[in-house]
Amino acid sequence: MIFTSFEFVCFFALVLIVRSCLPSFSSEKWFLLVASYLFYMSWSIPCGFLILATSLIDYAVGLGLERIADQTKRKLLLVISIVANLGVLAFFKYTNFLLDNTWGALHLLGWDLPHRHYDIILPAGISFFTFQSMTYTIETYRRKIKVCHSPRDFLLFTAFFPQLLAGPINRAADLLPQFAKRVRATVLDLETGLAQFALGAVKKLVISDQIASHVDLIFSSPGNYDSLTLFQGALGYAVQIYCDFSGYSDMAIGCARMMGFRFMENFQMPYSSETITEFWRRWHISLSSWFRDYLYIPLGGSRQGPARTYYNLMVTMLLCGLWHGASWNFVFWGCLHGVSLSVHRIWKSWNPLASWLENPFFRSIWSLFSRLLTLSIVLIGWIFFRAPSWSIATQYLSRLSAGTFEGTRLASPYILAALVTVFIAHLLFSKDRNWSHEIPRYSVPIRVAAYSSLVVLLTALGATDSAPFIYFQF
Amino acid sequence: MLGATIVIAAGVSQAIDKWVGLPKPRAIYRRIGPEKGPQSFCAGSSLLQFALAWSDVSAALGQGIESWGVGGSTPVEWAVFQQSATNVNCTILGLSVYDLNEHHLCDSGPAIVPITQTLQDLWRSSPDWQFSKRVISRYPLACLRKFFPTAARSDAVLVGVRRKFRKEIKAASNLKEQPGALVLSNKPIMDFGELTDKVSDWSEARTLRRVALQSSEIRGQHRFDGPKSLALERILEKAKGQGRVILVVLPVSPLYKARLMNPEVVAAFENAFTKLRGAVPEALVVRLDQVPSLDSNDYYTDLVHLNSAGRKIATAAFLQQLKRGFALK
Repeated sequence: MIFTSFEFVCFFALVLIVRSCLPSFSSEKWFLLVASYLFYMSWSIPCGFLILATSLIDYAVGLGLERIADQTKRKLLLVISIVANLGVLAFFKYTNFLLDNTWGALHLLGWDLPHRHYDIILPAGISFFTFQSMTYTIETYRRKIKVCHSPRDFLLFTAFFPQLLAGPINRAADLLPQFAKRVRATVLDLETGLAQFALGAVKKLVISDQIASHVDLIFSSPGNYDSLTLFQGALGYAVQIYCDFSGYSDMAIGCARMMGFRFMENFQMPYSSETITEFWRRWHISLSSWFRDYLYIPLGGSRQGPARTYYNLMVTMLLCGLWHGASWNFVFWGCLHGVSLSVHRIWKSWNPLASWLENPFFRSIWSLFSRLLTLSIVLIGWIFFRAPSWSIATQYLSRLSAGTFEGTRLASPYILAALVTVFIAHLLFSKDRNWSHEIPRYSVPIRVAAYSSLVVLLTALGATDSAPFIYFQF
Repeated sequence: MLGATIVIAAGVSQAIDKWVGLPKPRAIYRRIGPEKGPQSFCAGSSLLQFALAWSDVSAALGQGIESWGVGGSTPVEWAVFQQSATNVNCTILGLSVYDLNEHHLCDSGPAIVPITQTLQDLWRSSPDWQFSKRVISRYPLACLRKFFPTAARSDAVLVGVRRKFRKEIKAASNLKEQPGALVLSNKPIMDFGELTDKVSDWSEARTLRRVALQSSEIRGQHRFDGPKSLALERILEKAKGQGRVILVVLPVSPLYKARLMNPEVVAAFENAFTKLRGAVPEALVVRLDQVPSLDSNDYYTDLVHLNSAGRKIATAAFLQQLKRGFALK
């Protein structure tokens, strides 16, 4: 049941209607909890028990952390929570990766052991709900939030359906308090939520899904195409993944808003970033801030000298890469971003052009150059992120950089139109604006025109068959 | 405000439909040959319609031929059309790997096939939930299309817009722009004119795009054991009682075979066909897919439709078998 499906629209309409009819806050939360588990179990029934089990462990750890004063025991409880969450994640996500690589390494050393590969199905949204649940135990350990005594509220926090499958990864400090007091959606909430949901659907169905088949075609056999086509494919994927994931986030945030809940924003025009550091402040904000707060800063952040800072950045981004998937492509992707962030940090502290940048003309040229450089790094990263294997990624990159005109030229008007739309939106509009929040401020005729345009776009240009969201695989 | 938004959006959707001329989900009746006396009922999609010179077939049979057509029709729709053919003593049924593939669904199906029939077929064939969902969800979509005729037809809208623009600048040939299937004319005659395009002339880029499009339409899969096979059983059951039955197995282009089929698909199709064949052992079988000279991309106007040159070869082979087969009987 994906957000763009007819089933979800029916499911969500039913949830809104039934919820508004429930007399008490308690019954409302029970209803949302049951609805969330039904939503999740529509993907897989056994996986519903997995999320229930990990949630109950974290709930119990939370209670333990409140009662126990001894710091060593509290630390032990936190370790139990982290091991349980990361253990589940590691088992489902990395078992085969570890087995394959161990077998490969032993084979190189001359030890021929039987090669095992297990058919492990990755539970949908596992990377998201485990990380979200960990925010609770870590913050409780740090005594920054109050312990949740209601198992129902805690289970709802980990399984709340709009954010369950692909985020945003909400912090316990942000979401749990929203289950403590009854919230009713105002007319403004409904309108803003609906607008954000529709905007997300346009990003997903009209842009991402329409170009997906063209991008897939190019990435399936990059050896067949000329450099221009490969460049188009890389740009196309950049647009596809942005519209797919930010579209999903918009729909999730919109759903929650229609029920009166507030989620954190996950994207803010990332491709207009002037530096790679800025890119990570605008791309998948809930994940990048999670890694910052729960890994980079605990490792020491930038407080222990330059060498240690670069090390921390590399470790953080490497693990961020691995979080996305168990493959060397994701490891490289993480490393590339780690190196880029380190290089940017060095540049910032050295910056020989600082005095030149006071000149407005030079500043604007530099800004354009910085954006292109940042975009180039991001694009190289996306090639490794998207390519199905290391060899295809390197083949893609080598053919692209060779500037060859040999091979098939595939000019996709869909990709070009999507590129133009997304890049104009990034260049022309302010980075921090959220259209769905702004539209309700205008007069009724303008709002009707804006919403009609969204519906027309969806009904005339929305893809016939919507593909699952890319981030569901993580 | 919500009401105004929906009304305006629906109005724009209707206007786009009118402007680009989206295909309507209604069957077009076509016929050829003598109107008097019993008729032959032609049950098949555009693959069959394009494959034969119907005036020659009608002359050979010595009777008129009638058919009902809708874009991308499948056996499920033909079974409904068969109810309209009342004065019939011969049924010509065109089958192919493409038509029989359960993953290829007719966009206009819900306007033709009652939902009760669809549910019944799904119940009997018990396919997986994803497939059933895909089949059933076309019905609410058909209702939505009453207000928003462009809903979930972005391919047709984009092709229509491009065609309009090309027409404006007087560019030639609109056949090349069709996303997956040819558009049949609205004329009530079973004569589909000349088709000179050849798959062998396609550039590599076009080939890749069309194969990808076709593959995504059928989810890269072939299966022959669902509602379509049940519909075929119904057609054959009725056809047996009406008179002669001719089963024509239509070819698809070598490009389709090479890129979208594998030995398992071929074997599955042969199994399904053998099962059907068993239901009407007295039927005349014409295997145009086994005519060696048609095994060339020169004879196909797209991945599955024969062009005029291919039609000439197919018609000759068909008539030869027809004469031989019916003479034997």
